[in-house]
Amino acid sequence: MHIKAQDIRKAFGERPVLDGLNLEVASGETVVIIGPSGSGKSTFLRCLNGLQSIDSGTIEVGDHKLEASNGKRYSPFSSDVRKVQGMIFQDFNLFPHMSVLGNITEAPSKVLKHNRNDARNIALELLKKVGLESHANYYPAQLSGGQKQRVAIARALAMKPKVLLCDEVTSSLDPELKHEVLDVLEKLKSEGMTLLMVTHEIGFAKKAADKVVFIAEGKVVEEGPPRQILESPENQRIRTFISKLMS
Amino acid sequence: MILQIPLMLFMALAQSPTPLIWAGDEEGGAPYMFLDSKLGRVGFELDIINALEEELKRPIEFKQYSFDSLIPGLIKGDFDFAMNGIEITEERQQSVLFSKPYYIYRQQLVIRADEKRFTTLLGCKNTQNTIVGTMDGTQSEKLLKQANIPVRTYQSPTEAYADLISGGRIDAVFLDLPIAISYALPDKRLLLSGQPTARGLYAIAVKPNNQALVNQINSALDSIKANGKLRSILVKWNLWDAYQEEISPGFFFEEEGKPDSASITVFEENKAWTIARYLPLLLEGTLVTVELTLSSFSLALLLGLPLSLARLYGTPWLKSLALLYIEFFRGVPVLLLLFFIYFGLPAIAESSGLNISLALSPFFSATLGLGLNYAAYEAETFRAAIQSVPQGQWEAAASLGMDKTLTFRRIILPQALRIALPTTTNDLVALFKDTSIASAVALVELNKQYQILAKSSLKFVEIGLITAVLYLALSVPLGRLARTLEKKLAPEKR
Repeated sequence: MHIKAQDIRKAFGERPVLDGLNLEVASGETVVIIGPSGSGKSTFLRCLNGLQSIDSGTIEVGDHKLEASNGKRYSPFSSDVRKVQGMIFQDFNLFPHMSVLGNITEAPSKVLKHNRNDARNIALELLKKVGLESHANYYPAQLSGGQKQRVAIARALAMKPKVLLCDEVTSSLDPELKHEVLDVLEKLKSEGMTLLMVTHEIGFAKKAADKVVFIAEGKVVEEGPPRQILESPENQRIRTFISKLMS
Repeated sequence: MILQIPLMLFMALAQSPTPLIWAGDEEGGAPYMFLDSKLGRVGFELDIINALEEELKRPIEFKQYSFDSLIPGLIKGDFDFAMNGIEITEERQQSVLFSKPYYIYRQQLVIRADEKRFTTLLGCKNTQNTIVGTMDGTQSEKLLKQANIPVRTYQSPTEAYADLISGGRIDAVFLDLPIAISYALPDKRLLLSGQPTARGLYAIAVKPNNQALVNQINSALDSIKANGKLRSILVKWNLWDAYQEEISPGFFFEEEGKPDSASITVFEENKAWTIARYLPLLLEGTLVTVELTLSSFSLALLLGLPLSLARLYGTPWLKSLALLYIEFFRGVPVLLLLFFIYFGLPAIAESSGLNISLALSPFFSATLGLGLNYAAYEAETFRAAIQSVPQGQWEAAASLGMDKTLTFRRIILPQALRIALPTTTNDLVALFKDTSIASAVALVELNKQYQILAKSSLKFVEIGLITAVLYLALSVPLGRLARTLEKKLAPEKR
């Protein structure tokens, strides 16, 4: 699914966070967004998903459009871009009072009105895909970080999204657990999912990304194929940023 | 078949005339009316009631009411008449109707048997630093105050005499003669000193606007005066004296009544108040306490949740209304609220010309008062709990396409309730103990039952300890439950 963000501006009070950001993502593409903290990467993802309003600019996700809220009171529940986009969070945000299965079947059965059995079968299939078919009846508190994040991915996939927005999905994980999540994402890419990821995993970007985007101060500074951006960027700031990440 | 039983019941009820309801206070009320360990409720007024029942050919049912509340309760219409040593006063005559008198009382000074300083009320007044005990809201209190004698008032005669015996706190007790005969005469440590003074009349107080009932009661009283029944009752209770001639024409003073040990049961038979006698009564009170706790807490929860929602998500108007409710009911003492609901609402209904009766039953009044009060606390507990569910939960649900209502109902509320549970359970324990103030609106729950039994038996310590055990037996497990829940639910994060 094609995503097009044009001249996105967003300020928190007086402080501009997104300052005329432009980005296009082609259907099936895996795009990795990197940049210093506070540069607006996460805010950009949240705006794409309608969790946050934009002050000006336009966002198109397939046929769905998001406009600026023009000062009106903004409800994060009002937009329909989520019918095609799923989102994975740094802190998983699993529902602690529901089992793994409950977490995954909740939205399909209540929003898409799937019947119990269908929702359950889809959930079990997805759990198999993320390697947790034996954990269906566990509660989030009983899972490791990597397992939680894989459940969160299965939960998002149950709504059959065309795009997955991943907001630093491995940042809360121990290094040895990161690969189990990244492996799942790589598998999804190979199945044609459009992936938009904010991450510091340079290795993953080199291996799996079609495009790397460097954002600083609310703008896209440079974008291009991973090798070009990660190994021979034109901008000196990117070089400094990456060498810091590597050390 | 099934329909037949209620029908038969109905017919049985229809045949017998509707019972009259009368009220009195059995708490420490010898010889008027009190609890006897063997005979149950007894007293000379109860004997008069039985005699009247025969004359009126109508059943008369008893309703327990605290003495202070008899006249307000009568005005409110909770019962047909009150009889409990109620003196005819001008003040009372303005609000209720009185029958003819059934007893002429006088006031009796009681001193310690070893008192050397004085023997009369005047002597007492002229002695330095003396305080005279009496009962709250009685004619005796009024007389003492008029005479400028320092007074300490008590809720019941047993407390006053017990304080006199223990010495130090008061120097004499000034109360109606029947009370002195019942409580002080059998006790060797006390002395009825000087002549009884200040004559007055006991009569039956009747609901205003019910002159017909007054007439019926009057003719019934005339009959039992004429046939000697009233006299024999008074003799039985050692209350007959020459003064009663005035209201019982045709019967003459024969001999000075001697204390009849059979009729004076209070002090002698304390020992008969065994645990087997009072425990069932305490358990009855416990049941009322538990019922009141459950009903008022349910009300608090049912009101608290919508209030918290109004406060969090309502329009500005709703928000301020909810806040007003919470501030008001948290700031007003529950006792005041109970009195307002119980005595105030019927008065409002009457004075505003409403055609509906707002005279709520004691249980319902107490449920309402406690429930409205605790709803304010529960609303704040729920609000805090809802707000403490992490924002990420809202976002995760939103990103799955769930709308606001669905998210609240399925994701936020279940977590908020878990967070609120320990606090709510603690509030339940607090409410359980707060139910004791319901005795103020004539509800006989555990605490009131204790007071009645302790004053009848004078076993303040023994029955008090058992009452405390009953409270603890229920509140300690609840408190433990609260702590267990807290431990169990607290570590469960994401």
